[in-house]
Amino acid sequence: MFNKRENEHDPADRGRNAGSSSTPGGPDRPTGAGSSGATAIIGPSISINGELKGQEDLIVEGTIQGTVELKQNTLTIGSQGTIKAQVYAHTILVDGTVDGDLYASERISIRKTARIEGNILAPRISLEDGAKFRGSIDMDSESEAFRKVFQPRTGASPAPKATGAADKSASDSGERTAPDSPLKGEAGKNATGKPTQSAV
Amino acid sequence: MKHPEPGEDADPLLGAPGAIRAPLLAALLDRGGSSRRRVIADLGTLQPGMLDALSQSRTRLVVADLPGRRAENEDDWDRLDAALPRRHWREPLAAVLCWDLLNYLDAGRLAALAEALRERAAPDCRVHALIHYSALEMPGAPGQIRIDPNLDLRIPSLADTRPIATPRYTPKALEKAMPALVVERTMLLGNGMQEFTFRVHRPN
Repeated sequence: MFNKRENEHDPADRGRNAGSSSTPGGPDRPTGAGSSGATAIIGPSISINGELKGQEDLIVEGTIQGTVELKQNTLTIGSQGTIKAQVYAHTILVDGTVDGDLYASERISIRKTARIEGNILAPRISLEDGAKFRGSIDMDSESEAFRKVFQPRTGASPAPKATGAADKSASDSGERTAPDSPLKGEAGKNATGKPTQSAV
Repeated sequence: MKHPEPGEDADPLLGAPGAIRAPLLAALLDRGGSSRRRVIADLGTLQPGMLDALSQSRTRLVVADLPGRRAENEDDWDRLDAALPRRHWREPLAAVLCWDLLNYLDAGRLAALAEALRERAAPDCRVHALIHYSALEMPGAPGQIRIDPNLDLRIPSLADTRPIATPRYTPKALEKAMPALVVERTMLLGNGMQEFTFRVHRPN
């Protein structure tokens, strides 16, 4: 499970600290949530395709395609950032563009400049007027979907893979392969960000 | 819109100044309380007020954003299979919020929408809609009604939009256009709009 550590800052405070910074290195950066206390930045000219894991906060102003796992940290998708991925994090702050699914064990904050197409799951979700969103929102921490994503499994990563057995039926039918997604079509992407089925 | 003077009994259909109450919508969102998990399809755009209103309930909210799709692609905005949950998804829809969208659909699109909803609806699903009933004109585009966290609605002023003629759908006209749905309740709101809830018609 994406355990909240005892000495950790209040996630809400971290969210405020992270702010809507589009200026890497600015005063609004996330602070000290990771084990190293550092915040990494992926700049606007950087593009990553694949699986990204880490144990420090991350600000993305570039492009990531694939899977992002920051189990105990904050991911900030800056206003220039584009994510085409499934994201698993402690807290996710969105100013930029997301085409994929977001899973946070604590909180997702959607700012007014955000553009999201996909599914989001977190116990707490905040939204600023003006943000664009298409997909599904699940704040039910008692849901099967939440348990699938965040329940601890001995010796296993808490974040299920897109090809996991939990979604075998969906995969078999050629539909979306996200852990628990009712949607298909435009919002339907697999872990590599490629559409699993075109819109009708 | 008239608001009560101090000491005057408040009209239950009037909310805070500039807002109106939609009792059928409030009842629908309150249905099931906070303990029962449910899936609600919002055919409109995601609003902070809706998120706040549902934050304490066990709700999955599916946001179709049909007004946004319409603004982007006038000819192809109602590809419902892309916007709605899969047919026969294991969590069928407990409620559908159409807002003012039905006013902007012709008979063919109304029928297609109703059928698409029936395929995804739970047996006790209710569909909510707001119909321009008294007014002769309505905003030029759907999706401009805002909801407060207390479920009051804020209706845009026609002066702020490019108004077009309303179809002024009657309950019978809607039932005729949408054979998959049956009118369950209607209520005339303080601003002259008519609020509808439909249940799903399942032929034997």
